Amino acid sequence: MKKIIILSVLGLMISFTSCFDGVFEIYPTDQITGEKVFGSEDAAEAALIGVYSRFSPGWYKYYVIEVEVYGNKDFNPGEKQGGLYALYTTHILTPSSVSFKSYKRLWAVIIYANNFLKNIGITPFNDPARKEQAIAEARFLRALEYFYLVQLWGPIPLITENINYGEMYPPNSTLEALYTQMIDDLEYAVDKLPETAYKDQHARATKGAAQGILAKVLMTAPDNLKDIQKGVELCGEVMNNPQYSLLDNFDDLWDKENTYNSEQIFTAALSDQGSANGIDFSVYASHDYNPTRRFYDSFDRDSIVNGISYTDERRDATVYYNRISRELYDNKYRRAGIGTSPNHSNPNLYVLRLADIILLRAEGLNRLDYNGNKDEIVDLINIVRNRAGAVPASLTECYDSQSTALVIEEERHKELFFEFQEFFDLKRNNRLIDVLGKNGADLGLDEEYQTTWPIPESEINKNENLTQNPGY
Amino acid sequence: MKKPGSFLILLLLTFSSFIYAQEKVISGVVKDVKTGDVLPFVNVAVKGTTTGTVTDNDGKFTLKIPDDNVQLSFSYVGYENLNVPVDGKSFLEVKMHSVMEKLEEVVVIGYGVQKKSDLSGAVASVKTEDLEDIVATDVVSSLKGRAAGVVISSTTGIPGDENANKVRIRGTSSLTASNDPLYVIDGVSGNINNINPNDIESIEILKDASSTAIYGAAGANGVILITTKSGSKGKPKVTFSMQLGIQSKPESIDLLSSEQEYELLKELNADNPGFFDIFSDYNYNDRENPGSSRIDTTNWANVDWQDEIMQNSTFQEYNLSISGGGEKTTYMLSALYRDNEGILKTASAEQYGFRLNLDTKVSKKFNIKSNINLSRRESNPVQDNTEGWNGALINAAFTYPNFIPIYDPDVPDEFFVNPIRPQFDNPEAWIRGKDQESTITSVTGLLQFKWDVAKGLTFLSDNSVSYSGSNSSTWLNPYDTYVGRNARGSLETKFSESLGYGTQNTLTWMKSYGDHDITAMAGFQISRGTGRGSILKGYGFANDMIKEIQAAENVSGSTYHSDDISAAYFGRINYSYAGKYLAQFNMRADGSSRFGKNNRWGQFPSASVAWKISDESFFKDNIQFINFLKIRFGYGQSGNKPPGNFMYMDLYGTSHTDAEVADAAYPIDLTDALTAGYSIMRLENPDLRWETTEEINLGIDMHMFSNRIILNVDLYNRDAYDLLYIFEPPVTYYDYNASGGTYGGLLMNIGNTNNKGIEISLSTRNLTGIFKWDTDITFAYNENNVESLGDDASVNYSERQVIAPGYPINAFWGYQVDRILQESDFDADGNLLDDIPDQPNVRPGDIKFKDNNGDGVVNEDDKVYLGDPTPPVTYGMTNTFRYSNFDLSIFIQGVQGNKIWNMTRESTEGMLNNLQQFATVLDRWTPENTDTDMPRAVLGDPAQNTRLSDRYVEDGSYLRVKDVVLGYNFPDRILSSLNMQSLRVYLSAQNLFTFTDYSGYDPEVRAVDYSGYPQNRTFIFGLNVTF
Repeated sequence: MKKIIILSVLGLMISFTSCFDGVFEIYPTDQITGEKVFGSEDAAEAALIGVYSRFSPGWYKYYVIEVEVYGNKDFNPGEKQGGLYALYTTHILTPSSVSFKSYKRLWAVIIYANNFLKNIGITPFNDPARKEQAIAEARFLRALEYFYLVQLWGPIPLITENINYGEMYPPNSTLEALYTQMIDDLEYAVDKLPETAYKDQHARATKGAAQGILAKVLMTAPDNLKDIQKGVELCGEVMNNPQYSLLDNFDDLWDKENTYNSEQIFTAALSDQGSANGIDFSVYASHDYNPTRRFYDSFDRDSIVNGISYTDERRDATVYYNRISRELYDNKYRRAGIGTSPNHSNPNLYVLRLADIILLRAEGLNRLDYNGNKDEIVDLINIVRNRAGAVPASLTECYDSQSTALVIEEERHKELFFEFQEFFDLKRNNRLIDVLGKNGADLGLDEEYQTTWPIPESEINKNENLTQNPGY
Repeated sequence: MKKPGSFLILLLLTFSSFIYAQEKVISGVVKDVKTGDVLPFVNVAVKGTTTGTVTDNDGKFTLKIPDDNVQLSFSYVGYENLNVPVDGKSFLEVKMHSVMEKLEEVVVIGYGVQKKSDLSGAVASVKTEDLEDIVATDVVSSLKGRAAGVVISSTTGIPGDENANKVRIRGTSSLTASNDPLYVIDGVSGNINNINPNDIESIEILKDASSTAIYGAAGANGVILITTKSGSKGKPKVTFSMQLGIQSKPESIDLLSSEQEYELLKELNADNPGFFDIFSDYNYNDRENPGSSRIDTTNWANVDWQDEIMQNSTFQEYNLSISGGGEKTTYMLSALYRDNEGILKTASAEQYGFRLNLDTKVSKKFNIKSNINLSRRESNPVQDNTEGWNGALINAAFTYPNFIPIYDPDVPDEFFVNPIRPQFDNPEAWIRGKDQESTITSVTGLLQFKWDVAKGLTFLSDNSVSYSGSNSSTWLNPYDTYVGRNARGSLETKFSESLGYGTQNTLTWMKSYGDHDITAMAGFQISRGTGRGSILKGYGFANDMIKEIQAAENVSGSTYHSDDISAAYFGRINYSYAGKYLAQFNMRADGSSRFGKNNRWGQFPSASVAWKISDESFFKDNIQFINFLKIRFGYGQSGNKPPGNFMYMDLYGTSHTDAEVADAAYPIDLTDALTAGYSIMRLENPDLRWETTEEINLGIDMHMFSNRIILNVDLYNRDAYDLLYIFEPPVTYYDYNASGGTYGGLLMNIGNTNNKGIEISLSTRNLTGIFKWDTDITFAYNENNVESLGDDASVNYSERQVIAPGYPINAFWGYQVDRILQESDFDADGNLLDDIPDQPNVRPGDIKFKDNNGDGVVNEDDKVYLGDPTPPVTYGMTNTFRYSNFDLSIFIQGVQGNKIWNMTRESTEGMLNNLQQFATVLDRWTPENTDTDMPRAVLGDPAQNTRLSDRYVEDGSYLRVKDVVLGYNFPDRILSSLNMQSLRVYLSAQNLFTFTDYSGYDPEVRAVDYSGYPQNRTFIFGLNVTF
């Protein structure tokens, strides 16, 4: 009797539970499932925007400042607050003090791009060519982020597959494998991306952007993959692209209303709109990071050469001098940043602009063959100098390969100050220790291991297959 | 039972009348009302005097009395006190009631009631008499230390804070899922914060799994059952109570004086003379060019910021209740108003409450009960436990340099701008520049039908609806704070509402066959909770006149919905044989929308048995000093579900809660306009299943010396497995921050935890005469351990607290300080001597950390376990003294064996930047002061003296005189002249003394104390009057 009761009670429970199962079929209203996202072209395009959305915030706030102060010889440490980034200015990084956020945010783009690339296969597109473009955009972003990560953190893991529960703890890859992947992604992007941005959405990757980044990758890659010749050619193709030209006035580059201009090739964009889209760039724009007086004084001011007076307008466009406190601040982003909203100082950042490509070509030509290219090199430098109003370069200044390399390095320093290029420039040319070490600015970067950052401690702790970079 | 000889009574009768004839003397005999046994040693006194005697071996007494109109009062251990009027009689036969009947007390258990003596699980019961006079701004904090094994810690002292209490019953089991107990109010789960403490009749705490299993999925962390008062038949009873009090601010922590801070800055910035531009002999506050203001060094400001931001505050509470009823209907109606000012300026909370409980007997077999509760809470919240420059006043008071004056000496009412870091505002500027408001309004309705279907068969249906609406706003005016100025005023407003409704229906059948008693219950329940809300943000205000969104230049916003459904079937059988052998069996099946199809339902069985040994004749006949003895054994399972909705799904969304990462939208047009995008919010886990807790419990209840000593002991062992764990995989795997906040990681079922412990509660009646003294003690010891995290999850040892196998949950982790390095530890080139483990960037005066693994290098691998943030030992003791109409109760409470991470000191003793430092750094290492444990001051801390280490880990043990209450009940003759039934006045002090080694404001804060808002010392005058 008892058994029958228990059995029937259990039976009843089971039948109840199954018949009420439909009750639980509820879905959120503010989120949708992956199946729906990649089931439609519109939603998949939105997922691509999602990949872009991981891109610029990863740069702001931490990363750009860290890279800038680590690689730039003309920065005073943030003396006034004891240096929020003091370890970067003094080049004392440890696995626990290196910025985990920067590492994470750069990876986020790769993960999102991987996820997009894995799922986009099932999405029906009206125009198959657009599908290839979308894939190319995601691959471009993935390669770009790998490029930054590898230059800063060395042979990190290489992940091109989508996340799944199996491969949580990847081991380090090799520089060769990483650069091979980047080149592969970028060559695909060069092949498939349109000349002008899809739907005139100018923050999208274009062929020119892919060419420019590929040029840098080829000029930075390990020796067996390095191809300076091809890099120089790619720069030339970008320069010959009629949609790109230098602005007449250097200062106009920093007018936020003018971010889409003929000089920009690829831009990390931020908006004043949106609820949480504000990124506190003011920490950079305000008073913590001061360019040195040496830098301020290094520009041509009323310099008379051959009877002509030259004034380099880049000084005042780059540095703001507060006459009361007698302090020097950034001026490129300050103008976009002040007084709009809390945490909404959102200048767009140039990832790649034409002046960078012009000087890059000059650098490549010099590395290939100074004597064969010296006239073109001087011409290229002067395209940039003339626009700024600086004293033109000459073969007396660029008398051999070495002197020319230094001239180009200094030119990039002046032209691209606050544009987080310097670390990569010095690294590409193996000049970090010379410039920042005891024989240079003496800022503490004396050992080879310091040219690569330590992998954040928590990543090493979590992933036992990962090896810390040497020296840390 | 033996009966006393009636002969004896006869003898007494005649004898006593004889005495009466001679003198004004009364005599009598005292017996047990039930058994008729005579009671020796009963205290007999003339009420209101000290004249008295005790009964002899035969229960007899003789006493001289002043006149015939007096009352005699009788008191005896284990019996209820009794007053008997003489009324001219010469002989009294007095019958006293045994408090043994207290055992017959009924306690509320899940979906029913049970006699306390018949319980077979671990249930603690707190009656409101125990809580009446203490200052309880919330129900939960009043339980602290009063029930063994229920550990209540305060996370903040902020008045009106929703989450001010953290309740853990028998330790912490879950890593990600909730560890909070389930609150069941009059049978239906609800929000404890909406309950007026004065309305509570009783609180029962179900602790072991055999008791909680009937609540299945929700019961894994224990269940707190709250029953509110109801009316009783009779004329209306009106009760008014009032509490008025003051709260005092904590003692200030010593900081460096302005001049001492200046000396420290000189050391820090020796290489940077430009820094000292801000110090000069004149005051110069440049508002237009922040960063160029000047500090007057001839007249140091020495601002006492702690004093500036704090105040002594007031507390008031008024409660009125009316109860009564007729033949068919009884009612209880109450109204509450409470106003609690904070000791931190700008903090305050008000509460309004209204309740109506109605019981209607519709017919002989049909009963309807309806409860309606309204509650409104209004508060001005403040932030604590965060960095001062974000506006957390307490941390700001510690870290804002005290050499910066409050006001600009030249411009009245303008604040002096921080010349070192303009973004870090003056704490006073935050007080004036920021307004925060929050209100929560809730309505709860409960309708219960009870139908006595047939003899022994009862149908009960509980139906409930609860609505809660809340709104909050944060306003920064465009003048006073850096953020406010930068935004030209900013306003954020949030509105949300939630609606919960559900029904639960049970059928209970009771039957006795001779010595067999059976109660069987089966039931079904389903409930749904929905919510929606919006957030609006605006910035760019012309001024601070109109603080509404439409006055803002830029507006943004978002809306959200939530939805959650749960259902369950459950059943219970209680069986008892001869009242001595008790058994209980529970089964429950729970379903939740928070799981995918594969594992939506979880089954949770439990069983318990108990044996009343004292009812056995072999025991009764032989061991008389033990009058009640029961042993209990229980086993049960209960469950836990994910902390959020839809967490098993593969989801994409448009926005992120991590403000730094912003929306999924992107300005793809390269203009300011954003294009909406979708990004990954959550990875799919269709196999997500119920977390399960399995517990065994062994308990003993023993009453000795006629209930003079009551002892309860429980031993338990509790395993939680299939733990729901949100962990952070490597960033190469998943950007867990993308979905932000608490639920951002990867949710999986992983590993298991264990809690085992002992709980003891002991009540003794030490003195029972005219002067009475009772003592109640609770003691609990709990051992918590993470047994395993499975194969997938990795441990992140980089944080202050880690979840690592072999250690308590959230164990403190870090380096250990060895000593301070001296000049003698370095060679002539400034390198460490060979026998000292390598540690980068050190110089004399830096801390030498322990090379725990002995590999000659101090690095990550040398971090070790630094202590348990959760107290293993908790205890409480109440001593109550009564004499005549006075009573005094002293409640002490404490914890032992836990650590607190004093995170404030990381910045205020760090000496690595230009923040204000504590006075303790006066002892810092200098070449002249080498015998110290405080390291040198050095900008940027290159040697990482401030790394996570035991330097900041302090003993968190404390003993606190939590409540002292001195009360007086007015005597009957005064009451009758005032037409009152009772009148009581009392003085109460809360947090009067604390004994601790902890150096922060309050050891009763969260485990990582980053300048938390402390508990206040409070003095209260209270009054209760009943008409």
